[in-house]
Amino acid sequence: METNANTQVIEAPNNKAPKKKKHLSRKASSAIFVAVMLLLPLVQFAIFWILPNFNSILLAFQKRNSTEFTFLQFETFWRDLTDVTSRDHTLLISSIVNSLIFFAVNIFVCTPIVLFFSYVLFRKVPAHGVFKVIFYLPSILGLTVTATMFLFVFKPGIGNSLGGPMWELFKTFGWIPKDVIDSGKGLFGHTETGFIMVIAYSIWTCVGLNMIMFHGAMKRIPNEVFESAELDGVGFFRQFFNIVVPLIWPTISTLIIFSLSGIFVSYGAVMILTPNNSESSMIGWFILQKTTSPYGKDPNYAAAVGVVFTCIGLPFILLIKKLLDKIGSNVEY
Amino acid sequence: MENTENRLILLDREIARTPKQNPLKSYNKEWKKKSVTERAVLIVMLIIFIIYGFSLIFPLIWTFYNSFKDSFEFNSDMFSLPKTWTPQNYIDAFKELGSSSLGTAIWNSVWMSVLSTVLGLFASSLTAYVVAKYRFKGSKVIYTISVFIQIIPLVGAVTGMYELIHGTLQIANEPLLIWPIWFGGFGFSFLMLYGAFKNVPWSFAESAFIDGAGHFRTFFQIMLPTIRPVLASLFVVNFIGAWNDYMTPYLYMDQYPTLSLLVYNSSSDGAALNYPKYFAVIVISVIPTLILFVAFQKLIMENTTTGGLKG
Repeated sequence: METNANTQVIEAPNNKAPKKKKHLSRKASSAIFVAVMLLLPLVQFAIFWILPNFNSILLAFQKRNSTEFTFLQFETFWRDLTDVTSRDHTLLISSIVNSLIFFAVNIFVCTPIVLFFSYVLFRKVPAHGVFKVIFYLPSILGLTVTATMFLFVFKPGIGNSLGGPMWELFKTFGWIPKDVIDSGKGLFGHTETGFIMVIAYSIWTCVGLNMIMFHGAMKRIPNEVFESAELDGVGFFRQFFNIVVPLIWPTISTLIIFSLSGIFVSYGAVMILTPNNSESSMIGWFILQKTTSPYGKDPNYAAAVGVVFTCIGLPFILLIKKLLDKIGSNVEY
Repeated sequence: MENTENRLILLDREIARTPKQNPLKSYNKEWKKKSVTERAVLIVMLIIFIIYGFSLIFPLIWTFYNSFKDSFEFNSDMFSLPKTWTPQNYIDAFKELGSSSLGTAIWNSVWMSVLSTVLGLFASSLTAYVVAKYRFKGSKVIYTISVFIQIIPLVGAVTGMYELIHGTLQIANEPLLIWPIWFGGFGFSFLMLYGAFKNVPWSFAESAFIDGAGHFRTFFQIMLPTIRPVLASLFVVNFIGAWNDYMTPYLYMDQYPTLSLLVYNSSSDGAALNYPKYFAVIVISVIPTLILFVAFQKLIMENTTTGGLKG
């Protein structure tokens, strides 16, 4: 390669054409490399991302087992939404309301909790290393295991036998409504408490991964910033609100946007904790059931509901992202 | 030059001579420096953390010790420790659980997790490298699309994908044909690897080119090894995610149930189940992820970060 470079320099004044050819071939080799590297991932993206989404839009404008263009699915959706007597009205309304509650809890309860927990860990509460590992545990165990364990610790006892430890504890303190105990369905199966348990589960497990992200961002803030703040007499809470939050704002806004993008898609906890409780359904679970369930399967209708909520969610998220970007600082840690 | 070397040797000796600080003592020193308010807040938070931490660990411990009870003992008392610790549930779980044997589920978990993690990381490193390091028409578009697909809520995508895999492509429950779904190069791993490659100086590649290496060799032998810590942490995190993923097998590979799907399916089986045997399956299913986490927790914690979404 070095020899080539020398040859090129000596030959250049007499013969410009080979230099140009050499330059082009280097460019061409780069182009070929880029093309080869991107080819398979782009094909995969076209087949497994563009095509399914295109397919969803197509399905939304078709009748079941027909390719005829129609608005029927959207009309059905509108009827389900507005007509109290329609078959899926109650389920659809509770799914929408629950999705919105879930999102609000995520943004206004979980995010501040995680942020403050991360700050306390960052300020080195005793045994902070141990707590970091323990709080990350739900992310390691996964949703199925964590949710199933949550389900069992609240499992009501059969007859006179003792129930799960949390069920017994809550019963002792009188925190479980009498009709829930009498119904025998437990906290997850009862219409009034099912979704509360889903929310409780979400708050209980929300610290994990986001804590790592926030903690990592806080650690990247130069130590001098805190040292000079302390010299100026800035206290624990003011350091949190006036230094930490503004400086890690890009991370906060990213995680808020990620939570937002899951607003109409999340259903994992519902799927495991309250699959048969219609009062605790969410939009993601509603669509999944319409897509896969052997009872009442209607993929065209599911696709139409998906298209409607994508059209609602997309501008909403872009607007929030713009707002969050405006609030935040230009410095990123 | 010699001077510098001597100084370095002296510095090394000095470091070697410096007694290692007791972490507890240095923490005590740090603690005393904190203001009264901060100490008070941290103590209150410590109590909250202990309660919260206990609530996270307790269900796992509860599941573990109940997996050693027989069904009768569990149904009469879910709370107390087993009177006699019997491994029978583990033996029974291995014999057969539901429609699929546990051994098969473990095997399915292993091959699906390894394949999906390796394929996803490989595809993401290909795309991340060229987008981060090569200027070409469309590189910015690719990055913007990658960010965009992370944040837009494509609500009905699951329907389109389900119909595509089961209908048009007919690759559901086909282990030899299903693998391309995992070869995604534009997801979260792409963004992480893009950031990692951006931080690697291009002079590394230029030196390799001068030494006669081509683009591919430079990528595989020079650039890829420089981001090994990020790759390793993504591998562990993605592997754990894949191990715990029950949706992909539930939707597309239900005839090849993984441990995670087995746990999910069994949870909805209700009272027909022998619960302690089911707990034994849960314990078995979490062992690999717990071992991985304990072994690589520092790597995961230090390399799992996210910045702002630009684009």
